Amino acid sequence: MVVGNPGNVRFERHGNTAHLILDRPEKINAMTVVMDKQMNSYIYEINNNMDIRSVVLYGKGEKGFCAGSDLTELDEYGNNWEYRNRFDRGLDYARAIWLIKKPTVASLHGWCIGGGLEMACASDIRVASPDTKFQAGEIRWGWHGGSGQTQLLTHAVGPGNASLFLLNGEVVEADAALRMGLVQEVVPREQVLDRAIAIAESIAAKAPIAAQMTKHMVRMAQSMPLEVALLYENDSFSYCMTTEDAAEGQKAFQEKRPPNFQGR
Amino acid sequence: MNLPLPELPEELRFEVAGAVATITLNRPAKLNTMTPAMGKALVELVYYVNNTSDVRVVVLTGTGTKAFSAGSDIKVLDDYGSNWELRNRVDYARVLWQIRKPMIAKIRGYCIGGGLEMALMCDIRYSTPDARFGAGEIKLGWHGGAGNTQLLPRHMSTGKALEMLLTGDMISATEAEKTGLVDRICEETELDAKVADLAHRIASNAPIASELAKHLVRISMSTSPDVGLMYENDTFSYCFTTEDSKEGRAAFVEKRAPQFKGR
Repeated sequence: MVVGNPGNVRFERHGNTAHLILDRPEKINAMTVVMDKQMNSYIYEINNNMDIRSVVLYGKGEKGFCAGSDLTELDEYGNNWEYRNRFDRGLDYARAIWLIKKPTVASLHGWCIGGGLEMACASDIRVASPDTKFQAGEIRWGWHGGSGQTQLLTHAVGPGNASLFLLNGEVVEADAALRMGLVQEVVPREQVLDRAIAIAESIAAKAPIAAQMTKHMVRMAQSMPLEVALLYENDSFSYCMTTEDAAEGQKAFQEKRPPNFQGR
Repeated sequence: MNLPLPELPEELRFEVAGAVATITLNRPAKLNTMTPAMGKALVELVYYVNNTSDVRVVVLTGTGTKAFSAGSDIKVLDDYGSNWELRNRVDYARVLWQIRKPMIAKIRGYCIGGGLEMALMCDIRYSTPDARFGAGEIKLGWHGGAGNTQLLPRHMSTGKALEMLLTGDMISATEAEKTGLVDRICEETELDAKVADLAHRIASNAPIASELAKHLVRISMSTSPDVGLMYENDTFSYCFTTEDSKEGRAAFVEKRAPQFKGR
């Protein structure tokens, strides 16, 4: 099933998994303001449609996943204060990925730089092909990333590695990214998208409330004091155990059959 | 930037006077209780207010003298859907927290449950002497889900907050002012004028500096003083890159009132 408008960012549904597709291959999927708006418009649907249980994010074309913002049209975001407030206008494509409540898997290849790297970091799981090149090169132009680059990258790879990325602005290859933990798997180029889809579809087969709560709690692990987060986890666990799906899971276990989850 | 005004249901009124916008909860026959539809419309209004530079300050109030708002209309709670959908609801109080611009609550009568949560999302609260404040959810079998347990203790001692949260009993405007929940009590005949005066005085200041001041007060609630102080110094430096800060200095030297443009 396909929904959404054809364009540079496309939205497709395959079973219970949504596909977010960057489709401007001639410009390494560099994000325009129009694409930014498109991306944000899909997030509401993803978050509020109970039938969507996981998301795959990928870029079309041989050159790469995404080269970040199209720097030739940054002025279209308005004056400096308006650009600063782009989050409130639904005009930040990396923020949009961060706001997805459903588990999100990024399939990466070729260039994954600037805002492209921010979208990857805002996803939950990253799978890359061996030719993927990561770069937070904003520093070379006179600024640092503003949609998670200094924060999410640091959470992903630790302060030393992140500083190397952010202050040096140089390319980091896929094998180094794997070693740092920036990507979870490196698989051959022709298999990377299939692998990402397989992970997302496996997640979509799990109990949706438990899967979303798990994503939420992993987020909380990065932003809460540990003692508070442990208490929060236990309340979230207790909530999960009140769901119909948890009862179904226990029943299926006893009856030695696969559970059939409804998202209730 | 200015946007077209979104279409609003009759239960939600919106007016702009000068640079001050007033959002009025307009369901007086039902103590200005909130429905899911009103919550969704509030989302549109928040987007409009944040992204319309002609609006610099927001006032939130309710129609009539019986209530600011009594919170959710309990009779339509099922409209939110399953328990999981209720958890993921568009929350009318939470959405007010997203407003970047200074916001004042003008309170008459009952300010209870989700109504209290909406008032807590505002930056400054003025009320009449007969206003009453309460978090009565506990009497029904739950606690507030959009701020009562988190924000009440920031406006009173934890003991007083727990007294309200665990008994569900209401407190008077006088008590609320004593704890700091209400910032000023004004006579019924004076409340509108006092709030308008406050709103217009705030609106006459530099909008970027005002928004950042609000933001930094929020930051002070959620980070350590060391981090907050560093963050403050960087936004202070940012303020000095604005045209308005140059205008402020020029006006000071020339002994005239500054004309701020929000740039």
